[in-house]
Amino acid sequence: MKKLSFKKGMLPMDGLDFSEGRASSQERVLEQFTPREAVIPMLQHFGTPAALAVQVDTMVSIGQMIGKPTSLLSAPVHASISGIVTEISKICLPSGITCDAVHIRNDLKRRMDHSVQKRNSPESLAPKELRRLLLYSGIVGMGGEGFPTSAKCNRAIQAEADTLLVNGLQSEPYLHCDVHLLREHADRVIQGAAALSGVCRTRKIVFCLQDNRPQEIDVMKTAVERFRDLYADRELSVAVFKSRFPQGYEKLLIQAMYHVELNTDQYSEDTVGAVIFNVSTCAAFWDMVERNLPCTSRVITIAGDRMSGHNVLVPIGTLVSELLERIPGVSTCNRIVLGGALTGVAIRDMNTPVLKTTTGITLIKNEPPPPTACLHCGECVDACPAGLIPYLCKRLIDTKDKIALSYENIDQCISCGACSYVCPAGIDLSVQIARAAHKVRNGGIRT
Amino acid sequence: MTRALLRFLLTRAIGIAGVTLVVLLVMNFVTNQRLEEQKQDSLRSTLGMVMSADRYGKIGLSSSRESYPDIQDAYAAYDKHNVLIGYVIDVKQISAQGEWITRMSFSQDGKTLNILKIIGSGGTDLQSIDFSSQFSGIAVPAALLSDLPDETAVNDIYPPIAGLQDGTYMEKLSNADSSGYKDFVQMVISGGRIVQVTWDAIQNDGGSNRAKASVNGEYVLPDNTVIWAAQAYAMQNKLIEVQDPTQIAIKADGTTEVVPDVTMNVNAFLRLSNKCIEDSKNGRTASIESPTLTPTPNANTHATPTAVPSDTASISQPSPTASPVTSGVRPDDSITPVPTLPTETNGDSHGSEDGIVLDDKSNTPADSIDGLPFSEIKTKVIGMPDNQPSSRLVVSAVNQAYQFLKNYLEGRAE
Amino acid sequence: MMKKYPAPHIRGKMNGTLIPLYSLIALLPCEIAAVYYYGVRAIIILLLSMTMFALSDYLYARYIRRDEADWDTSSLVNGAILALILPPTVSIWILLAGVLFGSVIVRQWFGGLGCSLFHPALAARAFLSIAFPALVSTYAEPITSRWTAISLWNGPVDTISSATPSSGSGTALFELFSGRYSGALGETCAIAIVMGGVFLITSGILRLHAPTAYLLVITIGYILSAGSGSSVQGGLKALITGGVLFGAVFVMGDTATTPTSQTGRVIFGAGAGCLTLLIQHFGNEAYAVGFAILAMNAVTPILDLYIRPRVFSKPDWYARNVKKVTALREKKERRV
Repeated sequence: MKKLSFKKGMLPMDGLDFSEGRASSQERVLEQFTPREAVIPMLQHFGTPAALAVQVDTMVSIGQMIGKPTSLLSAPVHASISGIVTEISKICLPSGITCDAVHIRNDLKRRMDHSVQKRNSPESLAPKELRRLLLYSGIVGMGGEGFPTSAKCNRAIQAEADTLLVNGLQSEPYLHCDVHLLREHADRVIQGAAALSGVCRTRKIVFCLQDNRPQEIDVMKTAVERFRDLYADRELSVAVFKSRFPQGYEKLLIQAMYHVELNTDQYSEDTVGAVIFNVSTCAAFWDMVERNLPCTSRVITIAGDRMSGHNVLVPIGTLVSELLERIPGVSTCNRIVLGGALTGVAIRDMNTPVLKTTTGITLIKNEPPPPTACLHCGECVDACPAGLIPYLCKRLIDTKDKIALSYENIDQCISCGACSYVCPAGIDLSVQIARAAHKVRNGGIRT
Repeated sequence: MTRALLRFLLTRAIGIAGVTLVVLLVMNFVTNQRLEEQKQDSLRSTLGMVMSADRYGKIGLSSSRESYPDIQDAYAAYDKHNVLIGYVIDVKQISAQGEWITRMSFSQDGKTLNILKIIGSGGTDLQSIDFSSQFSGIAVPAALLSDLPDETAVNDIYPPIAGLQDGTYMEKLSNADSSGYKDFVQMVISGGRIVQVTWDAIQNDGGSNRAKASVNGEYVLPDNTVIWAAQAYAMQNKLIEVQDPTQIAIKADGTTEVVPDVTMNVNAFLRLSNKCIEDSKNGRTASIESPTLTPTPNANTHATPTAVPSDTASISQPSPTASPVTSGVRPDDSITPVPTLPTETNGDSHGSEDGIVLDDKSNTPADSIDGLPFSEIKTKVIGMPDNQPSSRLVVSAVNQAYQFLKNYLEGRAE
Repeated sequence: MMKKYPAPHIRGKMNGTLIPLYSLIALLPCEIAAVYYYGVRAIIILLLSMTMFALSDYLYARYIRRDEADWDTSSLVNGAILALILPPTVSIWILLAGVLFGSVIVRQWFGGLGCSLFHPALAARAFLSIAFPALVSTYAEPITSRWTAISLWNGPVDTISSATPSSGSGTALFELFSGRYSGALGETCAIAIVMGGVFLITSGILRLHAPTAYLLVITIGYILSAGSGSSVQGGLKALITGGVLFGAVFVMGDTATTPTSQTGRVIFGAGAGCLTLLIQHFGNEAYAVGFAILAMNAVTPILDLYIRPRVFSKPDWYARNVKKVTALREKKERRV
């Protein structure tokens, strides 16, 4: 099978999966984490925050809606644990945005909301019903983008997309929660994807995997064969991609699949008729379809550069400090990163909750050496998937040469961090360029 | 920079350095082999004209560059089984016909000259009138007939004592003198003539001989004149010249005026010489164990101006001074080494103590040729009658090569 | 509260201190060959060149340029390369003049690490060959008088074989590989250069674009000039002699003086190859490689400016400009 790939990019040290050969591939049963307390922010997605639906001292159960969507570009929020609402406060999310958050103290009874119950024939639900479920479930792009899935489906329906891509390309080092789902819960993923394709009215479903996961590719292929009869009206297939960072980015995935390069204001649904969902999103949606359980928990990876990683099923809103209590060596970490080591955000407050978009927690112990002067080596030029010249952009930013910078197409930066990763001088290229790119996109620098 | 990284870099560095060193050594070994093969090939083609061998080993000249300035190259030749078969020596000289190289091959013991070729500047073989063939297979050293003094003339002035028998004779005093030295005289008679005289004294308590002691400054004559060794040397030469001790008149105090510079008492010398001559007349050659001499402290006697007789008995070899001209190989079964003679001049004695320069050409007696005494000359060649200077050059080349080779072989034997 | 860190949180294995160290290790074979062939003189020249280059760089950067940066290990590499491309008979004063020129004028005046326009060692060598042509063009016979260092202080007077540079003509191929012919200190031993190059490639430091293009052009040039008489041996000879291989491996791998884009590096290598051939044919064979690379160094900023990667989702540079040109033409026509 031909392997697909975008151009450029880079291959981090050990071919992406740093914890390969350790616990991760043998890990079959998920550890289920039970927190003492959950802090559930109202804004876990891209769009407008949900409106509070509970007050202090309200008893809540798992799956109970505590935040109502306020617009089409919004998602409801549900309680992830059963217990009592102790406090409603403003907290600062890692992204820097402040929003309301509901603090729930766990009563450890695991009471399910009355609406959570098994459906009889989940495969045969009508698209309209599925769409209603999707809207209710509060599922957002769980690969990290956080775009409400229902809004994405709407866009796909409008563009009459005919392909649904399931993104299993977890190209960030250390993280393998999506891979775990693909291996151990292939049925859920496939059925969830099929349900989503029902919503989006797409005919083709393509599962995208990287070639450094041969085991998962085999699992998916056999699973796809099993479900071929059940979903006879759809075309299920598996596409293998080269393992390369940042393969999982939407634009680069489309480039690798269709050889079409999306501009900043273009959507894959419009140009190539493909809508992309993450593996976790699919699995979460199947939970909704099968058991009517909204998005209340997710699988995250806890890994680090000096430790073997493992996956945990964590209720949304669990505090990082509580999650890491039993992990040895946390106190000696230099950085605790929400997300992957390359694009994640180093949190400054340990009491940050796990969000729907959190793919993992990476513990970084190795401190990079201090930066030196630019060596003019051009590694960043070779690595940048957007085709920028990062060292030149950085120089122009430093010299505040806005006119010259305006010719550098800096707005194309996808802030993947590849340039910073490969830079032998250790210069923080991606941060500055991404910031400048953000300004340009918002009209800060006229292009 | 972590320790692990440093270790990693170090191991890489050491590894790559080691591999480089091995590769370099191997490649240079191969190169050396090839260069050596090329050199041997060219040597085989050039030196093969005098001695064909499988391999030629160069003999280092650096130590003898001063003593033998004309010697250009010297090689030891080996056969297929790496057995020494002889030596090849190139001597470069400047003649009337321009520069030439005399290339000679010698036997293993360095005493027989196998083939001689003269190569001109163009690499051509200058074989003028069969001259080189005169040298084929002769025993060395050699001399030109014309080099040798007219013996009859010498005999007329100082006729040798009649009735002398050839051989080596030795006489010594029975009593030691006041300083503990016991004088002795050793005399070599050859062809009815006295050819070699040695006068020395052994120290009773095992110290060095008197000649050596005087050179070293341990034995000093009272009137602070020329050292004893030099005076004894002059006496020896005088005796060889006049052939009869009675020709040397002495005064009542034992000194003589016949020999210049000699101020000391030479009574003992004359008495012992007379005794030796008596021995010779009666045929009482020195017995093998007779020289109760202290063994020479330093076998390399070149540095001492006097001859210290070797403690081997090989000195009885008669020197063929008066032998007819020979061109064939002379069977020479004598035992090496040839005793070192006082007349032998050597660059080594330059700058000996007390400022005496014993190898000064003016001082050398006329009875030597190319620094070799007549007694040592084994072969006489006719040379080119019409070109005596060139013949002389070639002969001196032969003798120089002979001396070099002897020196080299002695050095090797040590 | 913890310190705020920007992403990414992990970095590649390579860093600015490590790359020069790898290069130093890669230069080790050449240094060992130099010491093997030229003995104690080579040791002294190498050590002096490296330490003085590093010292002069550091002092200038610290106290005159007021740079807060730490020791710059790449100056050691430059020092080593300078020593290796000088003839073994070079005197210490000449060497020090070269070191000062390379470190202060070529490196520091242009801004230090990563900013030099010309390769410091090559520029210093070029400077010496222009300023002291006689003193840096006398070569010694290898192996002979290995352990004497007499001529170090009073200039190159002894063991001079000829004023011919390291053309290596008339030397067998095997000797060309082992480096046993008179030439620059470390340029002659091809096998050592190859070993260093293999080490650099396997460690992922040497980018092959420029060297490959360079060697390819030299090979093509040889085939064209030799015509039907070309042979593998002759081709190898053309690649090995005159510092071609050394330049390809150790000078073209330099980051500061080669273009940043891959295409740029290929053009750099090809251009240097063409210039080398031209100089070898029509000019002084001795400095063909050095001056060719220096000339291409001067072109590097232009290559950097005009050879750009295609920006994601944008037409490439040529297409964009063709569009611009056609748009301008249309405008003009409309005006007319």
